[in-house]
Amino acid sequence: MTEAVVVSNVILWVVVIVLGLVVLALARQVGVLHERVAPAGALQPTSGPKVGELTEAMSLSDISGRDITIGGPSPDQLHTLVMFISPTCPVCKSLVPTAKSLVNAERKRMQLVFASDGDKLAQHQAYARDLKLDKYPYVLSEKLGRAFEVSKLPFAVLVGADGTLQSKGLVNTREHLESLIEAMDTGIATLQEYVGMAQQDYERSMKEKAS
Amino acid sequence: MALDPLILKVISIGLGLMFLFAAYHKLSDTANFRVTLLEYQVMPDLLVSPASRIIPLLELFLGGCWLLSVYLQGLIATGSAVLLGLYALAIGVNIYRGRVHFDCGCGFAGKNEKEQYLSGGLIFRNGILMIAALIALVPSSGRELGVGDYLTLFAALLAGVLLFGAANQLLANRAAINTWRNLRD
Repeated sequence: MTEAVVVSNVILWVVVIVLGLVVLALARQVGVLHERVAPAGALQPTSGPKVGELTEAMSLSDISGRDITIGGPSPDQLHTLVMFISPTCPVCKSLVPTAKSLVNAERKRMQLVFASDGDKLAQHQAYARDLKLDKYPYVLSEKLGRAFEVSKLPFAVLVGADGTLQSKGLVNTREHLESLIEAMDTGIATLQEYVGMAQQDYERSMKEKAS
Repeated sequence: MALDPLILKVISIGLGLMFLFAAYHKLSDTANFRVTLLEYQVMPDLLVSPASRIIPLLELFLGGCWLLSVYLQGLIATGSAVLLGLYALAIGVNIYRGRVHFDCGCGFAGKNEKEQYLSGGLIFRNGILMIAALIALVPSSGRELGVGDYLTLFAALLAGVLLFGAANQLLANRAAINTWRNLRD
């Protein structure tokens, strides 16, 4: 009997230590993962309208015939996130649900509009049905894409409630999309600018303390 | 109720190692520890310099006594609990002030370790350590320890060190994740 208890105790201790090692390794892996995945913002093209400029109001109608105005001051005080997508772009398909969930979290102050171009209306209608976009306006307009100089997809443009361009860029992940909203909230256009400011802040405070 | 001497041994060696590593960490980089103490803003600036010398020596003394099983009639246990409580209080005050983005100065692995920001988890951790220190105040029975007990002691310490390291890592991870964007849904 005693022998059985001793053996079971030894086995249990071995298991506890191995489990401890596994937990530690897992925790470290999460930490390393976080370090490797450095924050990255949306890639902002240098061409096209600049951030802070007033956008021109454009009256369009979406694929189900509703009228919508994109750009210019918003009558219901909402920011507008315009997502440029296309049925031929695979990344767009995975990013659409992300954009929907992000704007849903910010729905009190933001509306989402999808935009594309091309003349095959039936194809776009099928695409919109497939991605369950019926709640959102989906406009087909080459003019809109040209106004913001969209050259690569998926591209997002954030227009403030006052009609100024708040941020824009090529977006591939939720983080990129969030960076557009973050840029609007903080007034800091890019991550690089922010890191530079934080670095200066840190150096200044360290100098004050050392002296 | 008397405490089994094995439990007392596990606590005293565990806390001893912890205090010695903490003291080593602070002594190996005194300038940095002084900056950390300044960041806490819990004492007049004039006292920071002497305190930054006294605290590591105090930890060294406590760690040495724990390791050698010198308890000084419970003085070491009470002193350790008070010191850990003061740390927790300083962390709590700064969390209340909203000043959390500096290293807590509670790492154990020398200069190379990443910064660990303040969080409620650290207060919880210190609470657990305080309870462990106070358990050592309970008088222990005079049971003789055998070979099996020493094996258990070793295994328990090893498991404790691993879990302590994992808990610290998870706290650091959480602080890092908290710098991400918070969603309002």
